[in-house]
Amino acid sequence: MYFPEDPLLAFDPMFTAIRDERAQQRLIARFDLSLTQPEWALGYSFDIVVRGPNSTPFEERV
Amino acid sequence: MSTGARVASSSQTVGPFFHLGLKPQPPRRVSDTITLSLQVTDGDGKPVDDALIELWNADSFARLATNKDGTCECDIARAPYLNLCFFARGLLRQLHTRIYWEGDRLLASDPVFALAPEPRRQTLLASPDPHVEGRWIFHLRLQGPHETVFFDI
Repeated sequence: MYFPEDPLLAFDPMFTAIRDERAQQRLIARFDLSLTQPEWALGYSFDIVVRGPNSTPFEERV
Repeated sequence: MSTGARVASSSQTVGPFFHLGLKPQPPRRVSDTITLSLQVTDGDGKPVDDALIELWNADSFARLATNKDGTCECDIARAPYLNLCFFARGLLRQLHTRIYWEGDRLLASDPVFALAPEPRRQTLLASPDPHVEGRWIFHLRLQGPHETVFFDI
């Protein structure tokens, strides 16, 4: 799981090993203001999508 | 929430801190238990000391990490074969193989064993430890001569 706008994303070999941009986006958490706790914590949500018959195809064999 | 097709989460390599999540393996003491020792080496014959191996058959499961010398050991129920999943730094997807037993009469009729190309089939065999009764040794070679057969699933 990665965080949005992290300056190191472009340099992370695990992240850049994924060639499909949509698949890259799947690994970045989404900032969600409604999940934040004021003066304590920022809130992010992260979805894990398990493969299934309806999943969008993408190139995953490196 | 959108109900359209979604891109699945990508498979990634096992991270460097997986040891933190590993539970110690309780010993199994039933009559059909054997001790299995695994040795993992890379293309240069060097031990792989940070691999994660999952082994399972119909009714037992073991998850092991290799030590500094590239070996790991567990007690597991003897079955016609063991399924093996191999994870390591540098592998974006796990490798799949099976462990069969040297000298087992059932080998001749196993359809998956027969899928492995003939000269390399013996890389799927664990051999009995000549010094310790009930202990078997399996050598997993990631690359190079005698590379273990891995299955595409």
